[in-house]
Amino acid sequence: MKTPINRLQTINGEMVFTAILLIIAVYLFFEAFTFSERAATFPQAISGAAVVGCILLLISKHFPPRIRSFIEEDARIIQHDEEQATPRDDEPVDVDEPQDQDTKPTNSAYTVALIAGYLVVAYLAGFFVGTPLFVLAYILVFDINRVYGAGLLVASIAIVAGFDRALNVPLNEGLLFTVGI
Amino acid sequence: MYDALLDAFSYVFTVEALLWILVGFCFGVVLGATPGVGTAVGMALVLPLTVFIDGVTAVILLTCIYMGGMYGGSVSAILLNVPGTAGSAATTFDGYPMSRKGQAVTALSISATSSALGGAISVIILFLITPFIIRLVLLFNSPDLFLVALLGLAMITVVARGSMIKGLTIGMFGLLFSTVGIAPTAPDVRYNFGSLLLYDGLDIVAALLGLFAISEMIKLSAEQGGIAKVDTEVTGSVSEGILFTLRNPVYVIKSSLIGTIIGALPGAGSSMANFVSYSEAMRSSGMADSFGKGDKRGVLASEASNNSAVGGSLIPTLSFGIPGSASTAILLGGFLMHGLNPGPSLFGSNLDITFSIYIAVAIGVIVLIPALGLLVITQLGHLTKINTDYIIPMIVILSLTGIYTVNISWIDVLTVFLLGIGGYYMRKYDFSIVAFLLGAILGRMAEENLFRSLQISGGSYDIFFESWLSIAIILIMLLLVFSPQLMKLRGSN
Repeated sequence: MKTPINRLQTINGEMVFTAILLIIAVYLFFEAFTFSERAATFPQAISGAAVVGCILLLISKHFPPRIRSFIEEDARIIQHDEEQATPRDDEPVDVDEPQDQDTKPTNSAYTVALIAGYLVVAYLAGFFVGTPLFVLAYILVFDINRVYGAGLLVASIAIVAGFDRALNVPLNEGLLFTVGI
Repeated sequence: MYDALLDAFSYVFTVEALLWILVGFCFGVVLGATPGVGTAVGMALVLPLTVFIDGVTAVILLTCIYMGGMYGGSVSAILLNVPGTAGSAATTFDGYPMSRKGQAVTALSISATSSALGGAISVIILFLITPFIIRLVLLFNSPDLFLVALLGLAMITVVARGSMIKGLTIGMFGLLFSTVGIAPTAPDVRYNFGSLLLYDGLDIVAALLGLFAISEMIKLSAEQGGIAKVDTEVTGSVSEGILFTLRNPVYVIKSSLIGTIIGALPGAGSSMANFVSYSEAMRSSGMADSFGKGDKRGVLASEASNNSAVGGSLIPTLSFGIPGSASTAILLGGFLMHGLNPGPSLFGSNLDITFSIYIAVAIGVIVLIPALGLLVITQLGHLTKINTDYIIPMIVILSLTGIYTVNISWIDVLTVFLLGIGGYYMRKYDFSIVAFLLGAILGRMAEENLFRSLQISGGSYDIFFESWLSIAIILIMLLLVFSPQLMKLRGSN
């Protein structure tokens, strides 16, 4: 018999992601009741279908194998798509030698944190302040070569200045203060 | 029709338009040749930048990036054994062994020549079938257009990676994305959380940037250093590659036809086209053993087909607004961003826009691919060595500042960020990003035509079963949704 701890151990990232989708769908479903009838029908039907889909994905492991395979297995008629620029693991791409691809999942977390920080600073002080700070933080976190780092910094400032000059968009303005240029 | 063609010629043959075509192709080739970045990311990045230019030029630019990227993908496939785009995956089978034998330039020349010829054949086919498409799309009324939108959503079963339920579920979230803001059917504002900023809904360009650019960069940052790990010497003969391609017209024509037809099937795309034409070249050669060991016909077949598939993919995209792939979804985003409605109008009052796109693609494939591919061929190898660590911050900055400049809205910036994270997990857990986009793009079309149809019929759903066209669409839709299960049942029997 499975203990609560064992059950918790069977929860994986995919289930958590699906559960978040379910929460969003349930919220959107009930929120749709606050709209007028004509405006509510479509989102209610769609969010209802999304709720059913999420529940099916979450409880599929408890179904008989035949139904489970219908829910979980790859049902594509066509097995190649253009979503990925790089080949999938199952595509027979390597001819002679494998590409020694080191992956570091924590780097993804650092990147997300850096982007979040960039947005906060840009919101408060404008893109002119946020952008070079983001690049500096990126150079430090990912240990980028100093020369290339300097190039990145110049290029990043050029991008923001280019947008600012060409489109006259207030990229120097933040919620707290504005940088004069 | 001829007036539209003349208008298109006079529009495209201006210095400005030709310059954008050149820029688009060059940028596309760079993107395609840079492993890990990909055409879709580049097209998404360019979208907000197109606020500078008019809608038709923007769409031409995006199409040229798409086409250039498809050719550029062969460069890294041949030199590094890493296809720059999924459409060049089969090119690695013989392209890379050719490089190892010191024939990299020959392989790149075959790629450039066959890509040009394949693309040219697909453009000729586009021009030839346009009169028939015009007649077909004019038959569609509101109920049929609603069913076409549903058909587009049914395509999720074709394009969705992972389970069909996953694809359909994430497609529903795409539809929900399209419901934010003022309802098309009533003066109600939906899901705006009391904020005026959400009255106009969520921006599809922000969704594209988040799902492609940011999520791809988050994924890429986990991969250490550059993708290019192999250094290949770029040697061989340009003339040998050109002559070989010209001496094998049957392979070129056959692969181009396969590419155009498969490319026109929403969801199939260039990746499937190049595998099918590669297999066909292998079968018909009678020398299957030589394939995979540096057979030039392998490179020729793969490259002729993937570039012709781009032409084919424009058919469902332009005629019904159904994107069959990530790149065509972004192309549609470009249409929507500039207030152009993909669908029947592009084959009616706006036919000149459609012809302008065809002509731009023709210029690209006939002039630019050979010029870029053959004249600067030995320089293309450098593109494959760009370290992705340096690309990531630039793409993040371009995405976030770019989207901010479109509407000067922090909601758009937040959408990019949140969908960037969401897209990363969608990729990780096999929820199809294209399925989400199909929902987001087709949602409004589906809702508007559903209610218009019901208004016409006085609330009766019988209107969706009254014409032969509606019934045909419903049958195709049912076939699409249930065919995987039917095929499985047939297989098990």
